[in-house]
Amino acid sequence: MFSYLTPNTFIEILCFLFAIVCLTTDKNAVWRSMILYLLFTCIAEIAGIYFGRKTHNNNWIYNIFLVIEACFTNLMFVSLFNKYHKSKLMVIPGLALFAIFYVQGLMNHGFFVYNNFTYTFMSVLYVMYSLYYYYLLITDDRFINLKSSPEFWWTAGTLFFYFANTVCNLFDEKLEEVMVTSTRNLSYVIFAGLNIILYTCWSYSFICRKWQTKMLKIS
Amino acid sequence: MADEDVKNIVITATAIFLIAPAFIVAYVFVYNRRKKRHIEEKEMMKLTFDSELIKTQLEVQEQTMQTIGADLHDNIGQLLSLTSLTLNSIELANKTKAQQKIDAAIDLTGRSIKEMRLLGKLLQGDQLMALGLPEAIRHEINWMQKSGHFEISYTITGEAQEGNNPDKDLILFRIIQEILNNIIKHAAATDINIEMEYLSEQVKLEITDNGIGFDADNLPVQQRGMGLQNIQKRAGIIGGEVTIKSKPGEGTKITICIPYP
Repeated sequence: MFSYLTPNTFIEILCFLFAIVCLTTDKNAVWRSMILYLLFTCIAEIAGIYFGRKTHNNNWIYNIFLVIEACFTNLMFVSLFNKYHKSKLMVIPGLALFAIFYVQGLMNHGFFVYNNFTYTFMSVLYVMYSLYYYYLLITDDRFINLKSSPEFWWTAGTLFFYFANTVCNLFDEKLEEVMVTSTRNLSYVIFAGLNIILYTCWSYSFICRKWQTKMLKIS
Repeated sequence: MADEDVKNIVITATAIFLIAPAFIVAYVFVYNRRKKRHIEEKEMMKLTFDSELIKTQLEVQEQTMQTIGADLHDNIGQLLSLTSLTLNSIELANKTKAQQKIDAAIDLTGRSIKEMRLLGKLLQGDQLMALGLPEAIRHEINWMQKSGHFEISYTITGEAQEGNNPDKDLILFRIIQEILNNIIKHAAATDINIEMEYLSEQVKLEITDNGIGFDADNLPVQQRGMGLQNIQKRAGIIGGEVTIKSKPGEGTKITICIPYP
């Protein structure tokens, strides 16, 4: 049981628990859907460890998870952009390209090889979306207290994670052979560090969201 | 490339790729703080503007009251006293003379009524401004001209293209009142020329008198008085500029340019 408790699963489960505590009563369905997304994340991570050990290939799990990740993250960005303008149409070209690359990847390499190109494309897309959200934020006339803004911290986590993992994505094949410890390669260690940043920012954003909901109830 | 080299490159590049978003996040924070300061400053300016507007309204009302008080004492009061005297002096035995005096009393009463109507209009200060700035100035000039001490010419060129701005009108009107008050009190002028010109996105007002003037460039602080300072301050609040040109013995020319509407 404890062998499944890696830095990745630990921070993901912790973030999932924060999501349950802070978002269960949230009126916004998109924010509430983060609970479901983090549940899928934890399941994928644990299943990844299980099948990695059992069959030495867990890429198909992460290929499935890629679709879930794309759906939920796009949904969240639509919700963020909607504060400023109608954004459903804006994410459609990105999603369409994602679908094309994904299908092409599966057709070229099969289901058991990780769709790294699609993931890299998705990362670049999210970096662009995050930067665009910040652009909307700074050009908006209204003042928002960023220290307690859930949207700001959610985007910060996303930006840090997807921007910094670009290097790992580019050197993906090479990094599999670069070992840091006897069992862990460099890619794993970097992703563990980035996961800690991502889920810490997201957990804080959920707490902010809870504060915001409480404040709204009081007022 | 050796594994060690790849390891170093990847770690360094990842660190750089982490620093970049950190800078972006920090920039958003700093920008947001500036935005907050800007909003606070804007609110403060609005508060100052609003309080200045209320002060101006009160001053315009006060000036109206003073005009009414003076008019009641100097004009209507005199007319009514004269009416009373005329009526008292009627001798009913002399019907022809009595008729003349009654006619004179009727005439005096009529003039009093006319004066009272004018006062009534002045009391409705809001309505005066509702007629627009040019009319309000004309009204003010009419009262000054009644004293008989001043020859006043008043010209307006153009008209407000995109509607009026009542707040700016009120402040501009008060500035004109203050300038005219200064002329009455200190300038010993006989001729006053007022020119108002509506330009594109601007209104220009020029008030010239032939009074004793003063050294505008070297006016001592204690002589600068609240009047001139108020004019400068009020024009500044509505984004305008005031130029004062004056020399001893050569009269004074005050030019006010204000973005409008």
